[in-house]
Formats: sequence, C-alpha cells, structure tokens
Amino acid sequence: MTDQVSPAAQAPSPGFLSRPEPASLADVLERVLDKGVVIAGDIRVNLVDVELLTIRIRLLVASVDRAREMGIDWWQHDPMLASRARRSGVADG
Amino acid sequence: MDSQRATWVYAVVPASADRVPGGPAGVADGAVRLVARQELAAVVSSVDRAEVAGALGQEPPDPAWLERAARHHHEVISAFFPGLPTVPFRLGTIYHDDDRVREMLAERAGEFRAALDAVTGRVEWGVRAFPEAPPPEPAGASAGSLAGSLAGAALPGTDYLLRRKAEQSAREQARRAAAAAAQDLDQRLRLLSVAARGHPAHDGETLNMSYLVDNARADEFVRTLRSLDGPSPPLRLHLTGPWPAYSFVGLGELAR
Repeated sequence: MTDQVSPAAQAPSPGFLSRPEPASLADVLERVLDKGVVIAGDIRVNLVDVELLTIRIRLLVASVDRAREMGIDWWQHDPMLASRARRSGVADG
Repeated sequence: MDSQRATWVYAVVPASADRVPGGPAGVADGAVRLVARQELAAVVSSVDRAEVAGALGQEPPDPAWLERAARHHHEVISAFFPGLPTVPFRLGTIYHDDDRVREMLAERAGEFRAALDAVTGRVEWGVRAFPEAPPPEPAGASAGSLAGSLAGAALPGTDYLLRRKAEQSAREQARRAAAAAAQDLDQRLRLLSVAARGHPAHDGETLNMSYLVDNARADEFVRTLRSLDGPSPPLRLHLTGPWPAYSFVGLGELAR
C-alpha cells in the first residue's frame, strides 16, 4: 500500500480505489495498535476473565513505538524506509 | 462454548454482509466468520485463549506473534473494504464467546450505526512528509567563501568550524522550510477532507497524518498531493491508502 509520490507518478487510474495494495508493517501497526474502536467500558469482572485479557493486551502492546521496542523489525518490511536507509539521505530522484 | 476458546473481533460491518469476501485467514489461522445481530455484524474468529494470553498477555509479548496477528487483523478488516463500510477494532479485542459479542452489538448498536454512517463512501489516506535532504555541497563551496572572506587568515581548524556552521545553518533552513511546507500541505489537504488525525512522527518525519476523504474527492486529493510534489520540493511525500477508516472510529467518533 505504499506509493511514493513523485513528479513522474501517473494520475490515479479509474480503478485506483478498487483494491488496497499491501501495506508496510509500520503503517499497519500504526493503525491496528494505535487506532480502531476501543471498547473497554463494558468489562464485566464477574465474567470469565477473557475481556480482562483485552485490557492486558492493551497495556502490554499499546503502540507502534512499543512494538518497535519489542524488536519488531519494521525496516525490513518497509521498502520505502529501507531504501531511505540505504541511500542514507541522498536526495530522491 | 468451549472454555478454552475466545472470540477475537476484527470489525463491525452492516449485516448485509452475509459472507467474508476472499476467505482471509484469521489470527492464529482461525476461520473468519460473521456474528450478526439485527442490522449489524461483527467479523470474528475463534482463538485459543491460552495461546493469545501467552503471546500478547504476558511480559514480554511475543513480537513475532504480534507481527503475524497485526497482518492477519488488517487483512481480515481489508477483506470487506472498500465494498462495505467497515468499523475496524483495535488489535486484541477479545470476548468470552459469540454471545458476548452479540450483547456488545446490542449495547452499542446506536454508536456502531453512527460510526458506519460516518465512514460510508469514505476512505482514509495516509500522508507522510520527510524533509528533503539539502544537496551535498561541493567541497569548500559556501563555507570556503566564508573562510576566504577572512583574508586568508583562517587556520584549518577555523575553516572546519566555519564549514560546520554553514552546514548546520543549511540544515536548519531546510528544516524550517520543510515545517512551513508541511503546514501548508496539511491545510490544503484538510480542505479536501472530512476529518484529519495526526499520528506520532517517526524517523525525522515532518508530517504523519491521516485524512478521511469522500470517495468522490479521492482523485482530487491524490492529484493535489502530486501537484505539490514539485521538481525541488522541501518535502518528500509518501502516500498510503486507501485504508479502512482506522483513524476515524475512536470512541469520540463513535459518540458523535
């Protein structure tokens, strides 16, 4: 789902919205860990503790920064960032 | 219901979805299915409680498990998109069983209806901007002329310091130009959007934003972004999307 915007890039085709492309892990983590519906208000302690597990996961896996601390190697899966790292700051074409 | 199992929730969609398109694999290879109640359906799969608790519920969480789960979670959510409005759930939302999921749908039916309305016909676009690195200076060019203005009195050490100072000033100038350009870019994109949300900036990003855009304006949005990416921009732009509206279904949006 990455799309480097460049002067040479073509205008979006009519089917541009029809199908999402594969996303980089960094972009996915940013959304599935930091965004999306959070339902925490209906935890019922008297039920089996499954819903409490949701809370525990939130605490332990709280953000994309946390995932990074855990050693998830997002560079390896992110063509854009990886190529940036390889070029080490050389201006893009 | 098997007490060793639990129900992982991916998203809420309209109950007009009667099947899961494309047969995506769920978290931990669970079969993805729909749990419907009246006009709403939760997209779910069964997971092993102990497995999830062991992988994500304990310190330290298992990064490889999390990475796979994140990809599956996103793929399942994306299966309904953009054909149906989709309200994505945050990763790791787990219920005791399908009955609890139905209760949740009932308790929050109004909020989910509103959230589905808010994302219908709209998608999320991600825009990141990085400051364009200033072109590498030819050896001794600008700093050399500064040093030269000292009537040849500059010692090699002074020359080095002057060059460093010129480089620092060029970097600072590039940073300021990038920040101003990012602000301008953000303002223009907000005009084309229904809503905008910021993400934390990583790795020197000047801007890391999500915009909720009507499908009818998507072409205009992308065209605008490309038109701002001129031959020597202060920013390098990076567009991702279209995404399900992850960044626009938080509790605040649900209550709207």
